[in-house]
Amino acid sequence: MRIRITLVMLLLGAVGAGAARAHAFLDHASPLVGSTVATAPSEVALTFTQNLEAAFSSVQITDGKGVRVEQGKPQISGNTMRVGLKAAGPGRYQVHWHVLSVDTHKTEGNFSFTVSGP
Amino acid sequence: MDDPLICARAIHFAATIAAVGAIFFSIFIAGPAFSKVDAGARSPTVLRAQFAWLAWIGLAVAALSGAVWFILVAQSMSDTSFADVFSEGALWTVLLQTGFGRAWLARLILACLLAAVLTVSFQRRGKTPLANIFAVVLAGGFVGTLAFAGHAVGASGFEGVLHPAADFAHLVAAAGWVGMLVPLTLWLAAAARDEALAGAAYTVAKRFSNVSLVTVGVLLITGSINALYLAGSLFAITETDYGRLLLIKVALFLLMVAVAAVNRQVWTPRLVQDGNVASNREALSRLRRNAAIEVGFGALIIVIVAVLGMTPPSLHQQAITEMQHHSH
Repeated sequence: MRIRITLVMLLLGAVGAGAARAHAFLDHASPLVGSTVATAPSEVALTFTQNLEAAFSSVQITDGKGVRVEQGKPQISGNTMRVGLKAAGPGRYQVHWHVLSVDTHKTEGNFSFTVSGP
Repeated sequence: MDDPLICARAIHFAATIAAVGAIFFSIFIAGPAFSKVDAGARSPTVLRAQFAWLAWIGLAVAALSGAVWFILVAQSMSDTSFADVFSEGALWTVLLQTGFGRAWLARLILACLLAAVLTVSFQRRGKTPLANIFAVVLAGGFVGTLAFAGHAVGASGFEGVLHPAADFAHLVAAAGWVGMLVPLTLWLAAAARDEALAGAAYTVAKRFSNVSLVTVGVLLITGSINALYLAGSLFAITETDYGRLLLIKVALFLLMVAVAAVNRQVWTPRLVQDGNVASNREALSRLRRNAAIEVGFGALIIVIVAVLGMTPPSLHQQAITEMQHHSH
């Protein structure tokens, strides 16, 4: 009987604890997260740990002045999201991604990369 | 807040498993047993009606809770308010452009087909083999496709095939065990009141027990595959919410197996002690009580499953922790 009571209490405690959501997160990116590259890339590619839902996944890339520099809509295939970059000069770029994994959970995150040369 | 979604998930799992269990029980257990009951007895008619009601109410509640689940997910996916999700076309986008939506569309079609087949199957008292086969396949599909609404999807390669397949089989087996316990309890209760049914009680208990052996085996194997992909390591099982919930689920499952073993080994054999009416009655009563206890454990497991689907799987959580440490 005590075992049962303990189990029920454990269960209720666990249910009440609430649940965070984090299912598809960034596995790697190109340019690499936090890296410095010599020339501006023509696109940014993000690879996630799970396949993505294209209808509800997006990415924004901004330069040092906060101006959006991504070009068009991202192309999503499986667990990879690619987006083109407008002609970009040296500086630090912020990438903000917001994705929905196919198991219906949303995640988002930021990283930056730096372009050192022209 | 996730609470309404957890409620909708729990109700949908329970209703689906109850409906499918009632269909499986009617076809695999009750059908053969009724043939051993005196044709003039009234109880089989009453029980058939009860099983049909169980299936219909289960399907209706599953449809309603499934719709609520879908709307809540669509609202979350599209970041809109409850009112806007209806007006801004988000429901259509989710239904037609996401894996979850397509799974729901497929399940809606399966449910409609199942309802049509059940109408025929129940009207003909389960005597149309073709309708029975269709009912079993569609019911299995209806519960199994729940796999496409959870953590089993999302991977690529071999895992992308094996994990959903294992989860599909896990859900069908769960309906074949937990879902069939409710109609079993109804049968045993009716058998305690009616001598005509009591004569077939051994057939019912034995058949149910044999089916349970298979379903418990399938649950163990497919559950292990799921756990391997989602929980992974000892750290992940003991140190995360997901892992701890999974441990409670396994503990409840083992308690259910223990109660089922007592029913199989101790009480079912007592049903065939001819002439000993008192012993038969006691066995029937114990079987029914234990089956009801199993239903209780099964309901707790379903609540845990509803929460697990909303909790980051251990391996995902472990990877996040490692990433955070890495970035510090």
